[in-house]
Amino acid sequence: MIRCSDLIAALALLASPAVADPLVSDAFGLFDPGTSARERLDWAGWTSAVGLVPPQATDAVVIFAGPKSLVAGRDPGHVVGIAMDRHGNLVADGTSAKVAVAGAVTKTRTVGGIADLLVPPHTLAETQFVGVEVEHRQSPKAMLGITADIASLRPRLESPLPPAKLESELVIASAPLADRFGNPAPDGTAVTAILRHADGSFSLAHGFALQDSAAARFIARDIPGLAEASITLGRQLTEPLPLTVEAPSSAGLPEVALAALPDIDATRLRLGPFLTSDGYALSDGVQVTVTATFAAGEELTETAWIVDGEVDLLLPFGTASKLRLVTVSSSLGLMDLTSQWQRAARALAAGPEGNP
Amino acid sequence: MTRLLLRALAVAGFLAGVALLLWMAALSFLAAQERTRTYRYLSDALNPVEVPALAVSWAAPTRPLVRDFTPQDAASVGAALTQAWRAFAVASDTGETALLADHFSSVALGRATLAAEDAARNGTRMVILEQLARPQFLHLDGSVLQVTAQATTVRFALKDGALSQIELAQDEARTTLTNETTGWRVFSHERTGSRALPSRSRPAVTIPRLVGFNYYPSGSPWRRFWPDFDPKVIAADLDLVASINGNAVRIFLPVADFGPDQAGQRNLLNLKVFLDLAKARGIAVIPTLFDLKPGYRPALWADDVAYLRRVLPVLVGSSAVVLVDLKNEPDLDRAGHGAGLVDAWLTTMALMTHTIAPQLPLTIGWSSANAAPGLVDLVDAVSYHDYAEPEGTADRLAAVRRTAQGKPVLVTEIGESSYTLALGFPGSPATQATALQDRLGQLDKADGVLVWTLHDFPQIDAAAVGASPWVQSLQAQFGAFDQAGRMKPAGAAIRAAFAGADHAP
Repeated sequence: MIRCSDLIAALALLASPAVADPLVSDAFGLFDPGTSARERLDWAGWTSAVGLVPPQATDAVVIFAGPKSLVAGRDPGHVVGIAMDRHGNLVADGTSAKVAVAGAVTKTRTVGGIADLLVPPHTLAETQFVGVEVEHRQSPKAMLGITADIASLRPRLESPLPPAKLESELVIASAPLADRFGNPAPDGTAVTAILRHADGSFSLAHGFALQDSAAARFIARDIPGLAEASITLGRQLTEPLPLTVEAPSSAGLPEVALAALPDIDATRLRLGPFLTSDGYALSDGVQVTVTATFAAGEELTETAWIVDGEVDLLLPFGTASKLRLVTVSSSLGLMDLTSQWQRAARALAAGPEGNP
Repeated sequence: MTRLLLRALAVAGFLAGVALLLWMAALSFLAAQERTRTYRYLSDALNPVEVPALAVSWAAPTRPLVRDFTPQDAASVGAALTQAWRAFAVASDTGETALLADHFSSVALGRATLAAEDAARNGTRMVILEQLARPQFLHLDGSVLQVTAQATTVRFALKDGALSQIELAQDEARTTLTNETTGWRVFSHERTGSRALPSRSRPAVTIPRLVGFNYYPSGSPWRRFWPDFDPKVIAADLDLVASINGNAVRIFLPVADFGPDQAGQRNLLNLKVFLDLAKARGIAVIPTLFDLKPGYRPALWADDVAYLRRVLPVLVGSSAVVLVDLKNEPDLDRAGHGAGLVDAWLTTMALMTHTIAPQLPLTIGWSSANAAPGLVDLVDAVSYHDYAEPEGTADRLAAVRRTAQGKPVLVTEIGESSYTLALGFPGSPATQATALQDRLGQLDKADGVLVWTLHDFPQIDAAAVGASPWVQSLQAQFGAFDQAGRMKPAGAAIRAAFAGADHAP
């Protein structure tokens, strides 16, 4: 081994007067010490001029900690520091080093400029701060992130499920989710809630874990009655639990208002509001079906959705048409509006003040 | 009377001039016609896309790794290292160092940039030709890899256009790479040791006196030889060589035909078939490497070494190969590519050939006796081509032998065309025979003489000899046998000159 100062002196002689011949070879080619950048003289390694140039003392440590997301109780981590001298040369083999993981220090030595430590699997989901120190030079702080063992999460539902109100938000939430070590499920862990209805149909909603519990949300619309609820997380499916979706009852018939459109022999029908026993009208978006049965027996059915508490329909017959039956179907059930219709039709026929 | 004679001569001269002009116009028309070609397949018309050869092979680690180094890792890191050093060669060659950031990072990027700028400014170059790498450290998450490698590296310097220094070495290197979103990049590269290559001095070689032909099949000369390889045709032609007392053929292995692709694999098998056919007939073979090589830029030298790695094992495996010609007439490339660069390439490839196949005698097929003294130290036999005036042929041979350091001297191309334009001009079968007989007589002291060529050719490869109708016409009729397979008078002269040649490669 030759000291760098000796190398510089030797090459300075070679460089005299202006060009050294032959040129010096290093890891990146041939160079003339007299005319090339002098920093090449500081590159450690083998050169044709003086043999092996050793690295100097540690000046900087670059850290690589990973993998980025360790599974609790399963994945080891790896903390790696690459130590270089002030010229960027890898430090000599055998240089003393320390690897710190969450405050615990392990001594080691460099090989190929690298000091490393395998961190055994850790059962607590947390972030561990790590660092590498080589010859009193420390790396920047790095982190090892340990996450819950999601594969060991076993979701379940709290029994019994409270009944849900139709036309309201229905939340299917899991019991607190924890892995086999008690680590809560990471926020954002995806789940899917499934409602299996009495008629065999399904409703699905996707949700996620937040604050150690996972939940998925439905709008309970058009699904009155009994259902079975369950949650899936990955390949895990909870035991299904019964769920009742309670429909409100009617608190009175909706008002009927008619308007004649004689130019097209049609009738404009406005129904609403739909009063409920819960003390508020049916929500916008609820489907309403009106069926008119004529005196001759034929039927006409039209469907619409509640907007601003009312249903607005254009029916293809005049207000003078003889109707035997008018019914309205909604989540409140089937209602007979024949007499209200006839009253409104008479009022319309009586004079302009009867127009809606 | 004199006035009448002068007038007649003037008229005759005028008519001759008109005839010459008409002839030249007709040839020009033929050349123009030649510019339009019909291809059967689109791929025939397009230049082949080169498959870059990986310059890295892998050995097992000497330290346990915390993670498997998979074949996919080997492929991706091998490609990254190959491309990194190719980019470094390009940057050194052009001074354009911006591309280095795609392949180097951190300390290595700074050093590669500085070194490439130095190289471009001072005319130095470094090429890592191939590496045998060992993974020695691998981060558990695959983000950091350190390899130690035996890197076969050439470093050379050009001064005033000439080669002033060259070193071929096997470097011990330690390279650290980081796996980033754009792939692997070299983080650090250090040389930990070095030894010159090749390590052994070469013994003097003895080769039998070789007489024969430069060989292409009549129907598939130059670039059609290997794609149209037909063992029956080859066998018949080798019998023909033996029938007129030849004991050797010189053949050509184009770079494009022996690539790392499927066609290259097929041609390697065909090369072995050729050597087996020759051996069975007692015909020695001089394979000429790197034929029709398009350039000498250092960035592609690793590909050239990969070509040697593919071809030389086949040649080593056959006793029919008595001499390997590294390159056909490389001295003619000095003007276009730079003498220093061409000589650096020849030196590198000669040393690599000695390293890979030390048992194969090597020569370089210089285009003339004047060029033959070049790089004598590198070859086991000196060879040159002699198309100069017949007078002085023996003197040129003697002059070359004086510079050959006691090594065998072969004249691997002589030839005469029998093409006749009119009235025996510029040649004829008879003049061809006479000229060859004369030259062969003057070369009876040469250690080998090979005639260009065995056959006349109905189709000339313009890509090899140029589009000149004159040159093509001449090239079509250098053979000892005409297009119908009949022996020309030259064949008889050659048979007489070759009488007594040994047939025991």
